[in-house]
Amino acid sequence: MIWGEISLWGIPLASLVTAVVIFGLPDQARRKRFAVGLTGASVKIIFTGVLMMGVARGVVRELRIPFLPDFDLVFRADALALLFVGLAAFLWLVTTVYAHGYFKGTFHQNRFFGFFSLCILATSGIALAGNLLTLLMFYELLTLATYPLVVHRGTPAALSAGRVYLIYTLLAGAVLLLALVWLSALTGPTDFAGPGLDSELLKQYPVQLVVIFGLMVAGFGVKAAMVPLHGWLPLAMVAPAPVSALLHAVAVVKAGAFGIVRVVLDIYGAEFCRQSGVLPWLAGAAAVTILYGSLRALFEDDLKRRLAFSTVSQVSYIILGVAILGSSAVAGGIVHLAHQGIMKITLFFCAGNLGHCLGIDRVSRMSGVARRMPWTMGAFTVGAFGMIGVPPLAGFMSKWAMGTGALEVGQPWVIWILLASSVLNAGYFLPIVISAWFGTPDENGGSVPLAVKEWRDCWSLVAPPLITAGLTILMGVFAGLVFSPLGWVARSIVFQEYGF
Amino acid sequence: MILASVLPHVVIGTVVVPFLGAGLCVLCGRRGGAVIGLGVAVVLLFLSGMVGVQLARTGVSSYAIGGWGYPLGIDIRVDGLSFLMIMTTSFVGTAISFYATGYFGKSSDGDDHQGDGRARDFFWSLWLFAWGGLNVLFVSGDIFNLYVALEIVSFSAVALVALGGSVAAAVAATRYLFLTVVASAVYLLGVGLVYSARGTLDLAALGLVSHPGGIFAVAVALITVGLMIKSALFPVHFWLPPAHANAPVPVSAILSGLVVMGAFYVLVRLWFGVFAVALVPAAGHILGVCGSVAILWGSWQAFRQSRLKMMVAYSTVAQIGYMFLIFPLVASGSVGGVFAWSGALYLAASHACAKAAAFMVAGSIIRVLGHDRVDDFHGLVARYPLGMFTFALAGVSLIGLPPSGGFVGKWLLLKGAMLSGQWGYALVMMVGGLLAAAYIFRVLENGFHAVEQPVKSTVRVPWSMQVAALILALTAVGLGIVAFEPLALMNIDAPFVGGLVEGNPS
Repeated sequence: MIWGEISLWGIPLASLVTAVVIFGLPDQARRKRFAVGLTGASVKIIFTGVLMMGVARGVVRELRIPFLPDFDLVFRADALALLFVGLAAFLWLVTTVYAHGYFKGTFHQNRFFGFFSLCILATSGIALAGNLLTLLMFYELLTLATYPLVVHRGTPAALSAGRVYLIYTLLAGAVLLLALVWLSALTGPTDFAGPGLDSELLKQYPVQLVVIFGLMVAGFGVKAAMVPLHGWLPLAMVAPAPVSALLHAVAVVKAGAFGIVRVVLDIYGAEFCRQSGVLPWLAGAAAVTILYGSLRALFEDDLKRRLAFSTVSQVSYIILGVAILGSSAVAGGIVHLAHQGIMKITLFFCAGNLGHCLGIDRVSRMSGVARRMPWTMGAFTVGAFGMIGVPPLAGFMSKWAMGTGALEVGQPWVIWILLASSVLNAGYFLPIVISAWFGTPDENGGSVPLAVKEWRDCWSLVAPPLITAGLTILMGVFAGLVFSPLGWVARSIVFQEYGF
Repeated sequence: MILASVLPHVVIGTVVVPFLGAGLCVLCGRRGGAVIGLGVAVVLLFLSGMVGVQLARTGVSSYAIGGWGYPLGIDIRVDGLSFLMIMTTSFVGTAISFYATGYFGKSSDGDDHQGDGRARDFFWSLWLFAWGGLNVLFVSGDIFNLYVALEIVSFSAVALVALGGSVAAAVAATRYLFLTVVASAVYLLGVGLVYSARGTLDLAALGLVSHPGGIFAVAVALITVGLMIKSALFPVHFWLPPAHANAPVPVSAILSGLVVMGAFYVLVRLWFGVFAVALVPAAGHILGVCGSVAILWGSWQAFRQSRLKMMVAYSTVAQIGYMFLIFPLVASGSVGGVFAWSGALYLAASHACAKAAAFMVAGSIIRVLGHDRVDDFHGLVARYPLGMFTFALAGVSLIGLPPSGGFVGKWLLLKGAMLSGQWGYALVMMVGGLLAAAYIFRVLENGFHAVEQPVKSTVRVPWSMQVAALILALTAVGLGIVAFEPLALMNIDAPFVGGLVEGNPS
């Protein structure tokens, strides 16, 4: 139907139009900007829903534009793409509300919100890309659009973080470009819709294809913050909280992980990967990242940096799940894209609130803070427990699926990694939670009951984390249902798309 | 009907109109210059479009002036490459003309920014002469005619550089004059040798040569050296940066965007047509090594500059290196050459747009701040957002990031390098891209630097200057989105059978 066509165009256009309109608005037009942002995000969610309904019936929309003589631009709304786009669209909506309150009274807001929309455009493009060239083009656009957000405050620390970010991501982009040109010189254009690389090719160019695989993983691994390419992420925490929340906890790192998923499942294909023997290395690298990230998080006192290392660790779950190639493991890894995104954004929203409203940015000063901001800390607690993997929250569901999948393919060591990581997560989250709720507050509470003050003054800062925390609970509790993220992943992606 | 009879003659208009306009400018003096210049620009833009229509309809066309064909007359020949060059020149030239009307006009506070106004008086006639020369260059079918056109362009360019007015400008112009005269003499010597060996000057006839011989090799070498100087390839590039430092901004745009592209065009036309038999890998590698050093050294020098105009000037030296990689990549004889051909020329066209835009923004920044010291650009993003955005767009094309024409050109060149197994050049290109990112983002980073007291800009930059730069920068990006049709048009009658091949080369 015509709605499908419109929706496929509409998803990136919604962000582009929003960006253009916002850049044209004067800096002071807060209400208009808020309205435009909400409209864009809502439109995007509607279009994503339309396409999802189509995919559920088995209709996958594709758009092909001739571009280069040897490579077309392809957009394809398959189930995996829609999962990522849906996540990005929904979190854009929520973060717009959050940022509206966070940036009240500051300068250069139209610059911020405009580039924010462009980042969502880039993320949508990455999600909907139907071949690696299209994905690469939007991947680089994401780098360009996130730079102004990282350096938004214009302080020397922000500029220096931006410089490090650029060095890492532009190098990654160059490596990816080289790998892609190399691969296309060997095999011609490879669309994601195809069956993956031919085994015959493996016999012809065994070494080259493995090297290309390594280069692609490295190129995507920088954005996915895999060790040892993760150095930019803790530094980028100097950016404002909405940037850290949506972009560096969700959009940018997920784009990297998404890229690796596409490389393994769609470009090389499961069969090829098994034969070429690259998967144990990938799984090993993911496991190292999981453990290293969690270990570093234990020793960080800066709250946002602790969360950054937690992200480093958690994003590699996705990669580990895909590297194992058991059907449940792949499902668990891919759904963690959504689960981790929502849990992590909750935590970052809460961190932003503590910093913005109370001026607290260190774990050591968080004692008793729950008395002053109970709603915020309530959301934080839910998010933290989700990260640790407490049932029946969303995080537990992804880990359970991954563990089951590991047993399916006879790789029980993965379960040990998952357990160790959960223990470490508890090690750096539980002390925060306990000290916040049960510790003695640093300063006096004041006469006004603080819960009321929290809501009255900054509802737009408190509502978003509560919404996402609620979702964390719902996604976990109802994971067995068809329309939960896990149900979507298991049915439409793993089973229908890849035939596991 | 009328269209079909008029179209074949349109190409003559592209050659004649600028010279007529130049003559009119000389006659009209102070007042009429800008009006005539703009009028000529718009007419040429229209005519170039018509040439494209003609090309798409009937393919390659030859035009015998005055009905005298070969061997007595001078042939004019339009194929895909000529059209790309003419169209690029017309588009960028029109934008430069718009920019110049603002640049040489009175600013809002009544000041005449060009001293005694002499620059404005002479700019338009010289610019139109140069433009006419470029158009002759792109359609010439005769090797001596190319020399004439090169001379017209070079002497106009020397005079344009001298319009800067200062002693330094005169020195730079004299250095350029000296080098370009030497280059032309060397080129002419080569042409003489060719004529003595073959007895004809027509490009199509010369292309049918089967036995190269010793004299031919010497002629190729002489002509190549002459054109290397004119296109500012390392190591004979050293006239370019001082010329840019002291010339008015529109002249910098003309020089870096169009004039060097013209010299490069002649080299491509000759090497892949007349001298194709001499295109051995070793010869290609000499130019390739010069190009590689140009990329790396030019980008490094650009990063080290303290002034924006000089940074952009050294960026030109680097980008020309990219273009010269066409020679080793095509000389290898593999199917990669097809990609490299398209890539280098598309890069040349995108570079013209992006480089002109970058210089225009530099000129606008000088209006706003009074200087172009990059380290003092703090707060410029807040103060002059449109300019910084335009510069960022142009920079994206110069770095070769998607979406931009620079990315398309780079992709095709990389593909060519991979397919012909010439890894070194691929690596050089990647490193060059990263170095370009270093200097582009150095400018942007300084612009984002917060300032204590945000200063509201009091100087108004004329709209013509801002819009011209923005349109060029958007075009450079747009060439990276709509690439299919331009590439197809460009490859009409390319020196490879069937143009680009698709898919699996094995």
